[in-house]
Amino acid sequence: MGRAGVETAGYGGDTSCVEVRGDNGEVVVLDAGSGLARLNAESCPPRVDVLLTHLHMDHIQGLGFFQPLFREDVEVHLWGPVSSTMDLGERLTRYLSPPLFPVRLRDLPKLEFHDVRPGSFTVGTLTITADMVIHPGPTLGYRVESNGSSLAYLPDHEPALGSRQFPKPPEWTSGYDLCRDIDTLIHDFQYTPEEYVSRQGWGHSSMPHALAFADQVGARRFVTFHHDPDHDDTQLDEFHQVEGRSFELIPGRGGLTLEV
Amino acid sequence: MAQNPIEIILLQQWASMMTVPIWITDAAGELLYFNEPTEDLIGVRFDEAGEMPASILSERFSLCNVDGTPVADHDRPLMIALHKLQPAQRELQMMDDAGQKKIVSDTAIPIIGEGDRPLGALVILWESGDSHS
Repeated sequence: MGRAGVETAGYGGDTSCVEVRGDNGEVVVLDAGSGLARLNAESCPPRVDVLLTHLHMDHIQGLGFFQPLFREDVEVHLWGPVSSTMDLGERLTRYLSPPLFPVRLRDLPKLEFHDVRPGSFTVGTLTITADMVIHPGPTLGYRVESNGSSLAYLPDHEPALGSRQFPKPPEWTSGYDLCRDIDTLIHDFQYTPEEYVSRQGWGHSSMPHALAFADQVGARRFVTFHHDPDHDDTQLDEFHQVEGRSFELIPGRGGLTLEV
Repeated sequence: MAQNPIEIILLQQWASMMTVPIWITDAAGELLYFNEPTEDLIGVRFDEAGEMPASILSERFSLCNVDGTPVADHDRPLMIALHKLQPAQRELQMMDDAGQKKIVSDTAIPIIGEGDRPLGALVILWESGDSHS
């Protein structure tokens, strides 16, 4: 959530970052928030793929502290949304270069960039599908599949933007195809309905919209994500008291481990 | 029905709040959406119309040149937007559902998404002349 302290110790204070391990030991990291530093363990495989949904600061700020980027023995692949103006490397250089950061991207030993268009690609045994979703600027959601199991990751998503009512028919719902019949949905759960009124267009979901979306796509498990930094542990506990849902609701917390 | 690309979804939401007739097609010219002002003109609700080629709307409007002659397909703004990926505008004569003839500006804009993907076209009818029965 981007607010570390005793009042958020339960849910955690890191920004968006999820590690996915495939059956063959592949490591795919979804977004490069501050939690990325935890992947500096010696168990890091010789190749790591980091999939960025978009380039807002809370999703890339962990890159500068990601030890594998500086190692000769680890190949790092950075994937991110295609843009009509600059390629991914050029856009990331704005952050990873002086004066904002002491090291230049071009000086890193084994780094490769991939501009992602909507569609599918594979990383080892993992099939990854990307599609644009509603959030300011080019933003992707990802679906990761392996051996019949699936996980969708849409940390910043405002599917109800501009809608008079929500949910809408599937063909008019951002993220629907990515998340349809998903086993585990990791999705934006940022605002209360009262907060959402004054924050429409900021690119995030109200909690009721997120729950309605999870229900609409037929998610079996919904892991709430991207909690608002203004919400503390006590409030978040209350927000997760939801009845009458069709899926398992799992409060997203730093360090949470799930098998998909 | 498959989900539409995000660029189309955002345009649909915008079009649903506009007061001029607007319709949206996919890259093949299939009609994906028309808004309430269009419904008022043709007397059919979008939800009741179902899928149809956008050319059906042109026929419904009886769109022709200002002098009453038929518009060649390749001169239609929608066709230019879809096939040449260029915006186009043309003054046309239209007959609405109530039998009123009007002069309209038919504006078509290609929808080209992230990664230079041609996704369809947006058509706007601007009423620009007097009505004649």
